[in-house]
Amino acid sequence: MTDQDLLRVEGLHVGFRAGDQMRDVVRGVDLRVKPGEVVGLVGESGSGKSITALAVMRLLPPGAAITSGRVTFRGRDLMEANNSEMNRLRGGEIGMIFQDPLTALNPALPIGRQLGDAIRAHQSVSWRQAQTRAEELLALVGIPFPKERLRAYPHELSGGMRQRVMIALAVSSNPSLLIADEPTTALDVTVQAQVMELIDRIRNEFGIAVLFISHNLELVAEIADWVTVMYAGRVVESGGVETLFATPNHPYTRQLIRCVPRLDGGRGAMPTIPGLPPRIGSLPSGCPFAPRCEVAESRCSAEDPPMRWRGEQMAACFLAAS
Amino acid sequence: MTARMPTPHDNARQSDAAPLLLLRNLRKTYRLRRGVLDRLRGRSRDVNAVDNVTLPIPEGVILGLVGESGCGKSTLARLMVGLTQPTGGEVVWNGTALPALSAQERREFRAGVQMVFQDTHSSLNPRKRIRVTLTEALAAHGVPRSQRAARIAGLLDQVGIDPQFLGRFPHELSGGQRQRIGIARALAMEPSLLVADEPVSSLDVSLQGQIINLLRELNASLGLTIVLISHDLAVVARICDQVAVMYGGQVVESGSPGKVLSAPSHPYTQALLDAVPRGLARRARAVLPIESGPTEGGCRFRPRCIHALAVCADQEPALRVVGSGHLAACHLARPADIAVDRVGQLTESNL
Repeated sequence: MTDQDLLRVEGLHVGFRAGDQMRDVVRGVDLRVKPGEVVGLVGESGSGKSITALAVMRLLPPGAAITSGRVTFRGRDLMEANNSEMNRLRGGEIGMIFQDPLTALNPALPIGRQLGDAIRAHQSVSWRQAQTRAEELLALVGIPFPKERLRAYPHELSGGMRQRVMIALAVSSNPSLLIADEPTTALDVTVQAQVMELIDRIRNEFGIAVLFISHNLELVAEIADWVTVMYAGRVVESGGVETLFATPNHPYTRQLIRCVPRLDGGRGAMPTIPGLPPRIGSLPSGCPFAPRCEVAESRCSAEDPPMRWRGEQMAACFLAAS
Repeated sequence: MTARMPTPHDNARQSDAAPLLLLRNLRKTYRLRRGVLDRLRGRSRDVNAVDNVTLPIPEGVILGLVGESGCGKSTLARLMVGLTQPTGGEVVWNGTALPALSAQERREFRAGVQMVFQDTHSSLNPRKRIRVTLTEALAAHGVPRSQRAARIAGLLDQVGIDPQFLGRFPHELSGGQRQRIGIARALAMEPSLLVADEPVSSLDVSLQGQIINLLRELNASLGLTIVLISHDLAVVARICDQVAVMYGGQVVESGSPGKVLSAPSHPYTQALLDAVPRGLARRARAVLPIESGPTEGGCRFRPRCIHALAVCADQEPALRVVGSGHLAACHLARPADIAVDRVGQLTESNL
């Protein structure tokens, strides 16, 4: 199995320094992305999903560090890679898009210049060739008048167009993995639909694997082949998209799906999950979801729940069916 | 009612009583200057953020205001609460236009119309403890010092916040808790209208329902009228009594969610509904054409509309009755159910 995986994360722990001790915000995450596969990483704010992605790229903020675990890309242990190797990988074999394209793009440079720089950072081509390639990329991501737009500055483009530029930047080096962290959260639904369609098209045309990070279950269900659900720094459930959403095996997944507002959901009060997610540093013992869980038993807050498997679907819960 | 010509809105109203707040032919124009040279030459371009909006907000309803970013819904909200002055038209509060309010009435309007914001980080003073924020609101409302502690306890109870949070700063609270404090601060003024601009869009899914349900409870228990600005059509369909859809600074469709969101008459409303992600139901969604620049004359939605006809380029469609309490601004919208509408004074010119 190992050699089939493009990206493999095993037992990842990430800690933030708090005084003279480390507090783990990611606590033993396992994740696999196969070539061409879209893996959805779902979780609420503070669940550790974005930190997991940053740890994979070795882009953790100051004060945070990987405390244990392994990250391998194409079998290469990224914990052992030096900075120049990581620089070649980032924006090379691994492309990235973020929630806010305005802060990810340089506001002072036209987008043609930024695309050209990105292309030339990873490929030895002339400036003119890079500009031609940049124009092709803008056309590929559905930007009208690509030649003229090369001279545009980021602020002259709409949010949806900026995200298209980000996607063009990310795919400029023919990556085999695209990490997309909440790529459509700041966008209107109509524009979100366009960007989702674009990500899906690029994935199909170029066979790029995607690690799609989002709090939005509807979006993940739309695009992912495999889904991993995180809560309080842990993976609580993972499985194929069809089975996981049709027959969620972890109470958190089940309760979260119920909270998603639906147009055909009728009228009246909205379903909610009572309480709040735990704060890092004041994690409950046992299952972190137990205090909010509608089916929790006494053992749930006493011991860590085991991983239960039902076919390929995993749930970390005493009560999961197997 | 005055002797003016009947408009479609007269038929759209739920009751004959004057609405709590009436926006009448409201317009807000912002002047864009392009650069130093243009400024020197006095060249500029006007943008109509809100363009001739007439919208009654009846007492006791939850009105949903939907549309894409840039459609003017936030500007409309600011006009409603008097944070922005209209370029044209008027905001009518309990039957009196805002400029005509007496000093006393103006004070009542200021307290009676409150706003809750999307960003809970920037809408609460980060350097003030929750107790101070709420006390200041009560003081501004003229609540005597001796009664403030009791009122604060009552407010916290209403929004479901434990009194232990009173001594905390906003950053020590979660997003959902901060939003509850924002709502408590608004309630301190004993408002009759609450304008909530995307109150849950920065919150996690599992917590959004809690805030939405809180608004619903306040509507039911206090009779609080609520304008809910939201991009989430499913939430609006679930809790709102009325919906207004905005496009290009105008209301293009309005009515009950059962009509507007279940059987829309405007192609834009249909397109918005089609774009809602429905991955969990394993359904694909339709993609609206890429946004285009401003249009000159005719229907503003025309460049993106799959049904557009020649008439759509020539003539700007007016908002007209297409069903009972259901208005749409589209040449193609069919005036269905017109026979069963309360159309005593409905004339040909309205159709």
